[in-house]
This record gives sequence, C-alpha cells and structure tokens, in this order.
Amino acid sequence: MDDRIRGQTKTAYQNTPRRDRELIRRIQAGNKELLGELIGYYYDEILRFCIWQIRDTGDAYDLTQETFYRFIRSVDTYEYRNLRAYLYAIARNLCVDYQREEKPVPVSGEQEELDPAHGGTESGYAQAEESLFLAGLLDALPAEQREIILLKYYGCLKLAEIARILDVNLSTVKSRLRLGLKRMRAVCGEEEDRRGQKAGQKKGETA
Amino acid sequence: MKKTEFEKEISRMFQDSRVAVDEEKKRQTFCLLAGVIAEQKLVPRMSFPERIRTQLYFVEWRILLAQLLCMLLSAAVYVRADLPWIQAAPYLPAGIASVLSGMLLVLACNREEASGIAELAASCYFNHRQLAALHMVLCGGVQLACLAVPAVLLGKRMQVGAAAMGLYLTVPYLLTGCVEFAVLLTGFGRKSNFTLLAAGCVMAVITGSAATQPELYEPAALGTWIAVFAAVLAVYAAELAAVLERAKFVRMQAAAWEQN
Repeated sequence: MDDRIRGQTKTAYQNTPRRDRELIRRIQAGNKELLGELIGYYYDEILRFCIWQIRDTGDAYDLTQETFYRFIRSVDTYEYRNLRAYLYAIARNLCVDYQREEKPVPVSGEQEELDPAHGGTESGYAQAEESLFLAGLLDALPAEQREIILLKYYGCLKLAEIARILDVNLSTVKSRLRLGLKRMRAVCGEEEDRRGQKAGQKKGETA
Repeated sequence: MKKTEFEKEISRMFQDSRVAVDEEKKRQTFCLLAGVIAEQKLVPRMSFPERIRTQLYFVEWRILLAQLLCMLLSAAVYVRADLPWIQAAPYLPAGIASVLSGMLLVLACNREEASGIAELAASCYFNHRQLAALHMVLCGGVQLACLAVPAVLLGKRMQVGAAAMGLYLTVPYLLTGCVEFAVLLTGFGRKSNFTLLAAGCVMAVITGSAATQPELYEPAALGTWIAVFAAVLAVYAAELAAVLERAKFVRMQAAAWEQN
C-alpha cells in the first residue's frame, strides 16, 4: 500500500485548497487510500519545516511522522478550513513540545544538519553557505519570533492563519514579525560589517 | 535594503536552501503510516445536503400541516373575493394567517424543547442550538412559502407592491413571535402550550382590529411599517438568542443533576 503514498516534487510550496478540499471530502466519504496521496503531497514540506524548527534531522523525521500520524487519527472529525495551515499547526505544536522537553536549538556554528542537497558544485556550496547564514539569522531570534518568520517566509502562510496556529492576536503576530525582521536586518548589517573588516585585514596583509 | 526586498530575500533563501530528504527514512515512514491508514476505521461522513435531509424527519410535521391548512383557508377566502366582510377588511385573513404562522413556529420550538431534544442533542453531531436553528429555518421557509400565496392574491387584489405586502405580513408574524418568545422566557410557556395559544389568540385579536383600519395600509404609513419591522426584527432576534441560551443552560443543569 505504501506505493500509493507518492512524494511530489514541487518548485515552491503552494496553497492548493481546491485539491485538498476534494481529497478531504473523498477521504471522509470513506476512501481512506487517498490519505497516502495527501501525505505524499505534504511530507517534504512539513519535514523541512520541522528541521528548520528543531535543527535535528533525525528527530525531525520522527516529528513529521508523528504529525501525519495525528492527522490520520483525527481526519474523521477534521472540518476543512486550510489543510496546509492545519498540518503546520500540528507540526509546530510537536516541535514546541520537543524543544520544551528535549533540548534547545543549537547555536550558530553547529548547523551540520542543514546541508542542502546541492552536490559539490560551486552553486551548491554557495547555497549551503546561504543556508548556514539563514540558520544563523534565525538563531539570533527568540523562539516566538523565529516560528513566525518560518511560518511566514518558509510556509508562505497568511498572518491571519499564523495567528490561528499560534493562538494569538493578529496584532501580536504583526508585532513579532516586525521585531523579528528588524533583528534579522540588524544581524545582517553586523555580518556585512564583519565581512568588510575581514576583507580589509586581508588586503592589508597582502599589501 | 528596503523592507520588502529584505523579505523577498528571506523567502528566496528559504526556497533555495532545500534540505536533502533521506529517501530511505521517508520510505520507512510511509510504510509505517500505510499500516496506520490500513487499520484506521473511517466512518463515512454525510454531506451537508444529506445532513439537512435527515433532519427533515425530525421537523414537527403536525405544525407544518396546520400551517398548510391555514394557508389554504386564507387563500380560499381571497379566491371568494365577493364576501362582504372581505371588502371591508381585506387584510384581515392574511394578517390572521400571519399571526397563526408566528405562533405555530414558537409552538414547534416549544414542543421540541419539551420533548427533550436538548438532552438528545448532547450525544449528537449537531448541538441543540444548531438543531433548533435548522428546524426553525426549515419550518420558517415552509411558512414563508405558504404566506406567499395569500400575499400574492391580496397584492393582486389591492394593487399593492410585493415589498409592501411582505411588510404587512411579516410584521404581525414577527410581532407574534416576539410575544410568544417572551411568554416562553417567563417560564409559563414551557409548562403548557395553552399559554402560548392564549398569547397567540390575543395577538390575533390585536392584528384583526388593526387590519380593519384602512389608513394603516396607505402608502403614507409605509415608513412606520419599516420602522416597526426593524424594531420587531431586532427584538425577535434577541429573544430567540435568549431562548436558545436558556435551553443550553437548562441542559447543563440537567447534566449536572444527573452527575450528582
């Protein structure tokens, strides 16, 4: 039966409400085989979200598995609104519980788990460096700002949906997002200054 | 860097930095989830129209039959337009039919309440409020369709527009509903339908005497009708909400009593 669970390669994560609504309708009408198809659509996206959240690939697989397990268990009573946001909500809650019980997100410099799959090409190394840079930016944020940045720019969710997932006011989400972006911009500025100084030092040494 | 550019840059970085997915682990997860799916027992869920259809069996059919009878009688009166008392008070039969409709709806509501639907609904997919609202919408829809028949006959006869005719019939309907709900809220109506019937009779007498005043149905009085309609609609909504709220409270009390 697992061959019915198909992973979908997508260029960007998209909201596909019509497809999801139809799938949920058919699943709730008794066609449970379609659950596999639905998991296939969202597996990679949720897994990467968990990896960004907890920075531990091994445990991220477990959390993703748990996310879909809970979804399967509750699909009977699920009232369709936005399936993507619903899955993100389950995954986010699991990640929060994991971080509360297990261990905090590793600090910058311990990001070996975030190696992107881009082989050994030059562009691959550039993207790997960019991933580490992004991870560093996220590490500079408090958890509540980081998860909003992730849901907004990785999950491409609307602010209202994020507010529902986090169970906070829309204005709180907006304010945390603004503060998070401000902090990230400041860290970016510091990083650029540091790189500028390094380049200057190298020039001085060679001269 | 502008804020929007910065945000675009972050989005781009997230899109570019796709973390590799271990296909072996993914396959293992899918195998495990496939087992969970195979064990999962799904109860086929009804579609919304099906749910509505099943609720039709629980609507108070006797009340709806009474409503149909009421409509037939008033329509028959308008068909026999040569009767002298109709010439004198043409709005009387339609007004009385409207009052009776308003009373029948509250009677249906009270019957459901008295039959313990709130307790039954505690174990159902729909809660009591949803069920009551659904039944009222179904009954109300039938009633409005029934009232449309004398309204059309009377409008044709009196050369009155559909909007004005609608006002002349819905105001007594809603006003009766307000009085009946007020009776329900006092507590007497819950014990006996006779109190509600008596209130309905009083309203029928008041509406009947108003229907004999032709100046009330002149175009100049239309503004007053609109104002009364708005006020009565607001009171009706507030009273309906209070009745449903109290039903919920009574149900909670019953549950607490059972637990004790």
